Amino acid sequence: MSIDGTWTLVLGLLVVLAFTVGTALFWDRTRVLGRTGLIVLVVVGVASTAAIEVNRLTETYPSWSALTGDEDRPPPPTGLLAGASPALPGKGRLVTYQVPGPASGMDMPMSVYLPAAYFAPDGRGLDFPVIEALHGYPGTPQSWIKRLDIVGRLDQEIAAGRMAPTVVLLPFQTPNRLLDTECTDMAGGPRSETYLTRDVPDWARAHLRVRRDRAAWALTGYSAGAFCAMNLLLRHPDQYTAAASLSGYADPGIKVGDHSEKTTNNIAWRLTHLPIPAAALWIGWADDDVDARDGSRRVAELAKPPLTVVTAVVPRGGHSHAVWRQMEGPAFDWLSAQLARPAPQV
Amino acid sequence: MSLTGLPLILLTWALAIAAVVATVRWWRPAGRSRVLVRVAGLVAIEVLVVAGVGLIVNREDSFYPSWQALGGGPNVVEVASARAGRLDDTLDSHGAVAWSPPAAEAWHLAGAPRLIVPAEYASQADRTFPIVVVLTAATDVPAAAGAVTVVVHPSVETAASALSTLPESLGEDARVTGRMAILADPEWMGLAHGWPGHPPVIAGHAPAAFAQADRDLPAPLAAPENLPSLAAPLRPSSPGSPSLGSPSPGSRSLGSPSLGSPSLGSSAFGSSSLGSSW
Repeated sequence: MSIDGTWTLVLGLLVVLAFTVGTALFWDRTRVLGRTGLIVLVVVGVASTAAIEVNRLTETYPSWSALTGDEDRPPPPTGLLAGASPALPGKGRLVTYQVPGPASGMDMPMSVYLPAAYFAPDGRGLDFPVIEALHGYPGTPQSWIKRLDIVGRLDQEIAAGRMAPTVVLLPFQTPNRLLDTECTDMAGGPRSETYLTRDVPDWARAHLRVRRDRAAWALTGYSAGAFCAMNLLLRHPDQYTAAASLSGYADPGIKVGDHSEKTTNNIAWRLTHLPIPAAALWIGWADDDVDARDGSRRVAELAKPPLTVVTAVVPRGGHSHAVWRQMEGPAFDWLSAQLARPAPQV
Repeated sequence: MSLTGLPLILLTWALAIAAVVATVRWWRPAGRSRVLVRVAGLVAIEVLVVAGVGLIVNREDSFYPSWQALGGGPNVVEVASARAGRLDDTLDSHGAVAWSPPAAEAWHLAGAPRLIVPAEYASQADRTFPIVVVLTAATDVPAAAGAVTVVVHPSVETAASALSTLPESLGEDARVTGRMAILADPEWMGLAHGWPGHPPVIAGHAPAAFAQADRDLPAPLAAPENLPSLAAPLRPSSPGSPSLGSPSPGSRSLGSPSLGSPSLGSSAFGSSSLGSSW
């Protein structure tokens, strides 16, 4: 039984009900110790079931083995699908690799979307553009996969011609599921920024048929991942040409440890204190998502040439997957219109 | 009652407390319904406490600001279609076509620009193409593979600022995006580098230069999915900034009424796309 399945939640509810009935039945036959035990069972049951539902929403622990820490390491990328063909015509493939980080010290699995064209005869001589898609906090790459159906959406946008075939990387932005890094190099902590902007691109260029130049690299993300995408674009404009922010903020909302959350890891501060790079931003939010709306509007207001900005506003929907499911198609289409195309290997 | 309002939170917690009181009060009722009453009371407490906590968290972070948002909210994604160019029928013949738009007068060129479309232009009628502008006096110029080529022979009077209207003007006549690259012969390099928006500039007009331009540009794409843009400009845009056309750094499409308009309206950021063979 999967940790994020409907039946797991139903089972949790049934267990709570059983404990509740047990409490009602056995209350009169037990004394202080027994009664305390009954109440603890009920409370733990309710809390666990609530946690299961929250985990279902965020995919913080997408599997039982993720929860217990016994996850299998993905196989090394030997031969990397050289002879593999896609399961169905027009459908991309999602594969997971272990991506070590010599520069950052992080060593995490990464899911990779390879478009159908990657396996097509005339696609084999091509290098593809790349989008790094970052998850929110709490969350994992599985949030993009399970809650936002990123594979289905990419297949759909590419098949419709609204998007060029693109390799999409789904890296972890934190080595610790309960630590919010906001994709920064934390003082005395994980070096997520280095992992995402050096190790992951280096690995992709070494193992995948992807373009190496800035014109073909972009970032996206939702919620915390949206802040990440904008912040990393502004910090590494020599590596990325565009970013799409789905319900992002102007500041990281954490303490990085070196006070950089007020300065160099603060988008509003960067836009008012540092030279603004030539890059392109797509900023989307739901108008009733107060914090993300205010933060996103702030970034849009402060952005000046040569940084260009387009906005996308969903009138209602809050800070939710329903909003991001609406935004991801437009965001990916826009990113693809910014990115250099798949091109023959040089 | 608002999903994030205090009244709902207070009501929920008031009911939770009432449920606790009632459950304790009727914990030992007469009769045989004792277990049923207890279970009903406990379940009510559990539901209300979880709801009360959830409502507070939701109010703090506005995950679901309204009942409507909780239900998913209305879908406002729109897909436009590529707007046909006025010269599409002529261009489909694949030869170079002399192009004399009204705006050309201000460009002070040595002759009418010539347009050449890629082979797939006719078959991919839903796609818009990036632009490759070739600044040259030569007449035997090849064409870009995945872009609309505009061969321009400037004169000494041609100013880069005046040429900024070219992409917009071309958008009337052909299916193009605002994304462009410039191929320039040595004598026109200055003009190329002065082009508003600073598109990539490549020297010469040899096949290798065209290949490089193709590499630099987005693929021809179908019209993108769109969401509503910010209704009003956040602040007044500077007067005289071009509203359309090339990705001029002087103009932000922020607040541009580009909702649903095909690529050219939101050109700087608009659609562009990919060959059918993908």
